[in-house]
Amino acid sequence: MTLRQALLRDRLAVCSLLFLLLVLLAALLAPWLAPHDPLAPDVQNKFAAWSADHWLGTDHLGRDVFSRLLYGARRTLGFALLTTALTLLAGILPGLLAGVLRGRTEALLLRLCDILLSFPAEVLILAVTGMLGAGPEKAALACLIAKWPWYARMMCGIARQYADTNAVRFARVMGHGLPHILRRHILPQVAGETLVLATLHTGSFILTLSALSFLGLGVQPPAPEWGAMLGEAKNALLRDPWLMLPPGAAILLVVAACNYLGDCLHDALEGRCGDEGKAVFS
Amino acid sequence: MTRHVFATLTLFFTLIALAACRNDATSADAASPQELRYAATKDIRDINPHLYTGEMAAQAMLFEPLVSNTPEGIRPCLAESWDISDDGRIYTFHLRRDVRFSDGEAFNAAAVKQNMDAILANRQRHAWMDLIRKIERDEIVDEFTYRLYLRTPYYPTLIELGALRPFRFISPRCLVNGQSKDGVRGYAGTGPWLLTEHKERQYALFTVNPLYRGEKPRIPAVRWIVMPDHQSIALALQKGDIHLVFGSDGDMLQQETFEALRRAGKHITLLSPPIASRALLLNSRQPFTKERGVRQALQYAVNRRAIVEGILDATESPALTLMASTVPYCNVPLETRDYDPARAAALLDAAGWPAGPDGLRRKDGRAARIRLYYNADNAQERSISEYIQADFKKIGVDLRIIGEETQAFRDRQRSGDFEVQYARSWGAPYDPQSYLSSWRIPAHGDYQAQAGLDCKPWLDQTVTAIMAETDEARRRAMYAEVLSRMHEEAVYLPLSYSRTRAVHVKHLHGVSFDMSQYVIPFEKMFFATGD
Amino acid sequence: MTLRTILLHRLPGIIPLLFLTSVLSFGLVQLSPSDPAEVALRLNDITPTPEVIAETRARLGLDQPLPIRYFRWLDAVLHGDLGTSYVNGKAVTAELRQALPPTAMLAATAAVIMLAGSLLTALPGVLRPGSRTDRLARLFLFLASAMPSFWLGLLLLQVLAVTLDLFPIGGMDGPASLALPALTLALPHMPAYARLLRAAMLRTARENFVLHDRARGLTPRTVMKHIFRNSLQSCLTALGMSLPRLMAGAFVVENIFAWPGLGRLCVTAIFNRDFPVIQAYVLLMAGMFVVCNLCVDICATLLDPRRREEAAQ
Repeated sequence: MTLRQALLRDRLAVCSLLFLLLVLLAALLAPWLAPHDPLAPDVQNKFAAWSADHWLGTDHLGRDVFSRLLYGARRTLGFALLTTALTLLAGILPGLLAGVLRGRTEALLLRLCDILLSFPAEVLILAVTGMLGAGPEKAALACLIAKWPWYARMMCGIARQYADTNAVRFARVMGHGLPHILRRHILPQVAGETLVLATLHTGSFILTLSALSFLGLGVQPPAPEWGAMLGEAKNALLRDPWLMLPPGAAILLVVAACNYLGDCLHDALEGRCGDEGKAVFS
Repeated sequence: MTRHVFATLTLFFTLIALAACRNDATSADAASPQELRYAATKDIRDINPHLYTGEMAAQAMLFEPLVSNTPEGIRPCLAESWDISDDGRIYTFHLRRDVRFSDGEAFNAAAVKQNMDAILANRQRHAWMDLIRKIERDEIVDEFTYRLYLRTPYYPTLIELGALRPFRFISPRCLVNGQSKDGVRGYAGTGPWLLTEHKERQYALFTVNPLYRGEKPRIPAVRWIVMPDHQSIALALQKGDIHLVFGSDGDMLQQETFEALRRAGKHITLLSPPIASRALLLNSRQPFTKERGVRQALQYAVNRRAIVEGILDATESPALTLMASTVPYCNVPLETRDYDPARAAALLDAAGWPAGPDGLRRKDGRAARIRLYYNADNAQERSISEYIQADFKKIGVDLRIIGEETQAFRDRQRSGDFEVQYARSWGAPYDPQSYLSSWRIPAHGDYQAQAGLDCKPWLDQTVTAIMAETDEARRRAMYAEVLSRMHEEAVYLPLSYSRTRAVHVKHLHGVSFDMSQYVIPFEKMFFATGD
Repeated sequence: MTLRTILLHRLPGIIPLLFLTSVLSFGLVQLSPSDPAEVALRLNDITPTPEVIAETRARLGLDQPLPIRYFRWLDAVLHGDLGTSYVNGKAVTAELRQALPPTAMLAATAAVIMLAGSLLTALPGVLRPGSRTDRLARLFLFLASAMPSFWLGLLLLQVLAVTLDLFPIGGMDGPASLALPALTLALPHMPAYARLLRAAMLRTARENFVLHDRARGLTPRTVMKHIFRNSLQSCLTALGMSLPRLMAGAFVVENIFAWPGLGRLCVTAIFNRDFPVIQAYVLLMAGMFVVCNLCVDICATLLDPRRREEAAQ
C-alpha cells in the first residue's frame, strides 16, 4: 500500500509514529509505570526539585509531576481522541448522505457548513461552554459543535467523488437502496483514509481542549490533565517556574508528532508533493 | 526584495524592543518617591460611605466614624466623649469642635443627623447590622452634641458605630436631597486623604487632605493601581513597579507568591496577628451532611496542621474551634477534634455508612458523594480544597471540588445549593457579634447550612437575645451556650485563623495593621532611604 | 460595477446569516438556567418570593411568548442596548465598549507581527526552495503550529518579562506591554498564513505574466515585486479575515497576560454565569465576522479586474 510506503520513506514520520505509540502505551500502562499516586498530596514536600524519587519534581501540593504527566496523558489523549471520534461521527453521516444524494440536500448542508465555518471555532466554543458551564464533557461538546461542519464538508467532497464511480452507478441502476450503497460501496472506500487522517487531527483537538482546561473550563481539579497542570503551574510561576516545563513540552511534542504524521499521510493520499495539499486549518 | 523585507522587519522588532525599554518616571525604585504605589485586584468603585459598592480600604481613607474600634477597646474619633443612659437605650455623643469636611463644610451635630437620616432611610440595605433596627430616633441636642435613642438596649452599639460602614460621615453638601442611597455628589470626608483623581479600572489617586485635623500623612500621595490579576501584582512587586501589597486571604497576594517573596528577601513581608476564622460549612440540609454523626466524623478527617504548615507555609494557625479563644466572649472550653482518620472512619461506620468494596461509603444504596464549591479566583482555597479532597478520600468520602467566580459562589451561598462551602468570619471588630448576627439572614451561607438543624429557631432567638442582654456575665454565658451547641452540631469545620499579609519595598516604613482586616493604615507609612 | 451593485449582490446572503446569528445569541440566554427575573431581584437585594418573581417577570416582559420577546430584544439590540450584566448590574454595552479597544489593539498588533512573520518565513521557500534558510523557516513554522499558545505565553512571560526584565509582565500599560501578548497571539496563526502565502507565490510564479516579464528582460527584483503583489491579491480574503480571527482567538492570551479585553471579559462571564455578557460577546464577534467578510469580499472584487467582470455578468 502506498500509504505505508510513503510513511516508511520518511524517517521522521516513523519516529513520530513510534513516539505517539510510546506515549499511548505509557498512558495505558500509567498505573504500573507511575512511581507515585498522582492524586496523593504530600504538602511537606511541595515544589521539590527534580530528583531520583520525583523525576520531574512535585507540584504545589507535593504531588509527583511525572506520575501526573503519565496519568495526564490518559486524560489529555483519551479525551481528545474521543472528541475527535465523536466529531467525526457527527460529520461523517450528514456528509456522506449529502455527497451521495446530491442536489438540494447537498446544497443545504454545504450552506449550513459554510455559515458555521465562517465563524471562528473559538467563538462557537465560548458560546457553547458559556451556555453549559465548565466541565470536560461540556468542553468536548463545544468542540464537537464547532468542528463537525469541517468534517461534514470534507466527507461530502469525498463521497461525491466515489458516488461517481461505475460501481455505485451500477448499484443504483440495480435498484439498491441508499443504505446498501453507503454500506457496501462508499463506506469501505472512504473509511480507511478518513479515519487515519481524522485521528491525526487529534493534535488540534488536544490544543483546543487543553487550552480550555488551562483556563479552568475543561477538566476540573484534581484530575491530572496537561492543560490543567499548566494552569496550576501558572499560579506558582514565581515560586517554581520549572513546573510549567513538563506539561507544556508534552503537549508540544505530541501535537507536533500528530501534525507531522498528518501532513505526511495527507501528502501521500493526495499523491502529490508540495505545499498546496497540506491542510490549512486552525 | 528580501533585503527590503528583512530591513522592515528588523526595524519593526527594534521598535518593539525600544518600546520595551521604558523610561517610567514614576518607577517605584526612585529614592524618595512622591507617591506610594499600591496595587489591588479591584477598582475602588463608588466609595459612597453609606453603601457597600466601594472598596472598604478606600472608604476608610476618606471617611471617619464617631468612635473607633482599637485593640484597646472603643476610642474617640469624631466624638470626643459619650454618655450611655443607665437603661442602655440613650447614647449622647459630644463631638469634636475642630473638624471640617474637606469641602470646607463644618462638622457638627446637624451634619451627623443628616448623615444618620440618610443611612436610616435605607434601612433595608443595612439590615445585616442589628443596630439599624434598634435605632428609634435621633436628635441634635446642641451644635456639638448628638443623641441616639434605641428601642431596646443593644450592647454592640459602639462597636457597630465604629464599623467601616455605614456609620461614617460625608459632607452634607454631597448628599442628594438629603439622601445617599442613590449616589452622592462627591466624596468630601473628614479623613486624612482626598480622592483627587479616579480613572475607573485603572487607578485612583489620593492626596493629603489639607483640612485634616490630626497629624498629616508624611507621604504626599497614594496611587491605588488596579491590576485584576494576582500574578501581575506579584510580578510587578518583584520588579519594583509597586511599593505595597496588602490584603487578607488570597484576594491580593497568593500564598505561594508571599512565600517566594519572603524567601527572596528583596522585600519586607509582614503578617498580622490572627484576625479571622476560615472554616468549611457542612450543610445540614443536604443528604449526606444532614446527619450530625457524619458532620462530626468529617471534623476528624481533615489534617489541619498539614494544611497550615504545608500549603499555607505556617502563615496561618490551625483552628480547632470556629472562633479563636482570643476573640471576645469566645474563650469557651470545647472538646477538640484534631486529625484522627481512624476515629472519623469509626464514626462514619457508627452513623451507618460502611465502606463498600471500592472504598466508597454507602448507605441505603446512596454513595457518600459531596460537592465543595470554592472561589475560583482564590488559588489558596483551591489548593486547600484539593488537599481536603484527598483527606476525605482516605475515609471513603468522595468530594467533588468545583471552582466558581465570586458572584456565582455568592449566589450558591444564598441558595444553599452546596454540601460543603468555605465560610470566613468577618474578623475584628465584627467577631463575634456581627458575624453571629448574620447567621440569622437567609442570604448567608451560614444560615443555609444551619437551616436543617432542629435547634435553628433556638439559635436565632438566642443570638437576638444576646445582643439585647445588658448583663456582661449573662451575655458571656449565652455566647458560651451558642458556641458549644454549634460545636456539638459540627456545622462548621474549622480550618485556620487567617492573618492579613503585607509585602512592601524596603524603603517604605511604618507599615502596620489595623484592627480590621479591611483597613490599610496608609497615613502611618513613610519613605526613608538607607534602611 | 459600482459599490452599490456589489452590495445588492451580497446583501441577500448576509441578511439570513445575521438573522441566524441573532436567533442563536438570543437562544443562548433563553436556554440558560438562570431566571432573569430572579437575577434582577437579587441585584436589587430583594428576597425572591414567588409573588415578587411573578410581578418582576411581568414587568420585564418575560411572560410574553418567545417570538415577541425576540423582536423586543432585537429592537433593543439594534438601539445599542444589550441588557444588563447579571453580576454587577451595569449595562453590557458599556462593558463591551471598554473591553473592545484593548482587544482590537492587541489583534491589530498581532496581525502586523503575523503578516510580517509569515512573509519572512514564506519567502525562502519561494526564492530558494530547499535551502538551509528554507528548512529553518519550515522547522520554525512547524513548531509554531504545534505550540500551545498558553505555554508559549507562560514561557515568554517567564523568560522575557521576569528573568530578563525586558517587558512588563501583564496588564495594559503602554506600548511595551503590548509586545508579549501580541507575539503570543500571532505565532500560532503564522504557519497557516505562511503556507498560504508561499503557495500563492509559487502559483503566481508559474503564471504567464511572469514568463512575459522575464521574457521582457525585467530585473529579478521587479519580477519578484510583480509576483508578490499578485499573490497578495489572491490571498487577500484570508489576510483580511485575520484581524477578526485574531480577536476571536485572543481569549487565552488575554487571560495569561491580564489583558483587559473582550476574551477575558467573556471567560470571566462564563465562570460567573453572566449570560447577557456571553450573549453580547457572541453577537459582537459573529457580527464582526459577517461585516468583515463582506468588506473583504467587496475589496477583492474591486481590486481584481477578473472578479470585477465576473460579478458584473
